[in-house]
Amino acid sequence: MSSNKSGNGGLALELRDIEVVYERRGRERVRAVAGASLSVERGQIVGLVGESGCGKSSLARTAVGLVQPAAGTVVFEGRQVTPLTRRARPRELAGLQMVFQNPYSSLNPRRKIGAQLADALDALDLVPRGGRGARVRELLELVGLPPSAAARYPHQFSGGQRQRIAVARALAAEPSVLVLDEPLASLDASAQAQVANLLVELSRRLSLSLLLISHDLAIVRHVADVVSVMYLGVMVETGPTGPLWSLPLHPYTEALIGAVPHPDGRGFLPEALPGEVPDPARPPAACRFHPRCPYAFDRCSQEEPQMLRVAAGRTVACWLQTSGGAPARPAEQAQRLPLRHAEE
Amino acid sequence: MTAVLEVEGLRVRLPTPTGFATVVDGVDYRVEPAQVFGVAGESGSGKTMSMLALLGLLPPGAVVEGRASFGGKDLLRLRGRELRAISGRDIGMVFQDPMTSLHPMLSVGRQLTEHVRRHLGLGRHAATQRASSLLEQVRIPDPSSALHAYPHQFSGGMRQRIAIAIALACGPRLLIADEPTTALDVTVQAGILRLLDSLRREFELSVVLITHDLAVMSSIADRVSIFYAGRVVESGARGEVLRHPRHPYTRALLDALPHPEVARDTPLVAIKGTPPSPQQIPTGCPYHPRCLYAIDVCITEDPPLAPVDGRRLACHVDPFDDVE
Repeated sequence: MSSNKSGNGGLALELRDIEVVYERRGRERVRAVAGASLSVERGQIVGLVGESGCGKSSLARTAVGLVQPAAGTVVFEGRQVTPLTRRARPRELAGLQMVFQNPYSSLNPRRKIGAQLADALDALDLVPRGGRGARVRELLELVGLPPSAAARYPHQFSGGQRQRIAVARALAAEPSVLVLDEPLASLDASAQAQVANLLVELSRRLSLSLLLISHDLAIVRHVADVVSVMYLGVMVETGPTGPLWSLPLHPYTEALIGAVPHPDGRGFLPEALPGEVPDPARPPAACRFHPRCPYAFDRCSQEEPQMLRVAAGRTVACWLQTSGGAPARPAEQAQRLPLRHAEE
Repeated sequence: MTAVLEVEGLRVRLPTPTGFATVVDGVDYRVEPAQVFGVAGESGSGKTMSMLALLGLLPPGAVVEGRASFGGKDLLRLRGRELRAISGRDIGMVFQDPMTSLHPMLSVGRQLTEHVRRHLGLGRHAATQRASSLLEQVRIPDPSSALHAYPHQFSGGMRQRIAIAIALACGPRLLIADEPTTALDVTVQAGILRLLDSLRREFELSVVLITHDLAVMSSIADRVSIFYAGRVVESGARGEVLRHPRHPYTRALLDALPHPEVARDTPLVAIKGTPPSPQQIPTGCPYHPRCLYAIDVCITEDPPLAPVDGRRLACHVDPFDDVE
């Protein structure tokens, strides 16, 4: 489904060294995102995965200007994204749109679908009044809904259909980048497949770049060209989906893939990752994953590994993968390393 | 082997403003000792209602027919105190969101001991000991301090473990787990699945696992039933049904799922249309409007769930008969 598209015409969206800090009255501040970078090329689908609390939603919100980063910059089509204020969002940012997880709460229950789509068109004065009906029908058609959907209310649709409507509304602004925060969670398998297929089709057809935030690796594997893995506020690995899945370089990526259950009836019991995601207000020192990592050695608790390019298109932040030589599975690298004792 | 739970002809009708809606329509199944019985289907397929019916937890006005033998009694004939004595002690229940089943203002210890003191008549000290060993069984680190903590102090996965500990408190023979891992991350889900798998081995516990996720079901269920529109359309051994699905619906559900081992460019195949609402179940086979293999008889006649090659199947066409 996803032919690896990459490198056609530069970056559509770039997040550089983003930090997001939440102040909490009377309690310690939380650095939900602690210096994370990510880029989406034109027409590319990038999947951002990680467990809940890893900061992926904060990063997504920062990407569209809903959250003000404490540090770092977001650049959309060569222009810096400024956080949302009381003023109208700069017109140039209309091409950067967001779709939320829950279409039940992002659609107005008391307005007809057609009216809600027309609102989106009016907000940007995109279509002369006379042309709105036609454009609304076109938007509905893009997401595979009949023109009659315009005259109905959100509650008259299934969860999957409502998510398509939310996508249609985002498309009204004629965006070049869509940021989607868990658009497939809370959908049944069949509806999930429908929406996933739709997103890929839209991306190819409209040369739309997608940043897809999801906790579901299996679906991201089917949809995304490139996957970024986040753990406790930092990026730990980025790479083209196929190679990343068949040869995960970071122990956390490996653990995430090993935890995915297989629907093949063979009774494969997925691997559990020991321990819990630590409190983001008090992250472990050095490599944030080291207390849960089966391969951790001395250096991991002393120095923070940086994202390092280890092969074509692949970056990883792990001391196991920085010792030179060809990248290999964490277990293999751990065996090769004389570092474990030599470092002392 | 005697079944722990045997359900026959279960039918549930719920009152709606436009008359009764049949949400469970003649369901049969058996749950064997120490077995995980998986119930799968899309939302609205009646899988949860068919379990709530057993525990007398349906909304007021619901009409239930059929038989559900459990420990020599028919659960559907028991009322009030009699039902609570059994459902509280011999049947444990775990729900999707542990935050709604745990009391936010009571300590974990209080919630665990209340249960065993009531149903098993244990004294305060014995109850506390029991509570602590239950937390150990579900792999909660440092059980004695966990007893004094409150639900919000735990992560989602730990809360679900606590909810499982409460469900296990009185040593039930049957655990009904309704989407127990749906709200959890995959890494945490894997831990809960491993826990359920080991509990059934260690304590010979029978588990009914209700899930919309065939991958979850595939990892621990021994036998599975696929629900559609309040009926069972296919049931049998997990390996048989999931590796060689015979019902077009089972097949379609599997084709819609991303599979971690198939080629990445294998497209996901969505099922056309949406599941019917209980007020508007199609005639004949309820799946026929969405089925790629439907023939005339499917529109007029509801296929019975009949034994075929070691499984049970409700399909006139049986299009994958020779596919092995």
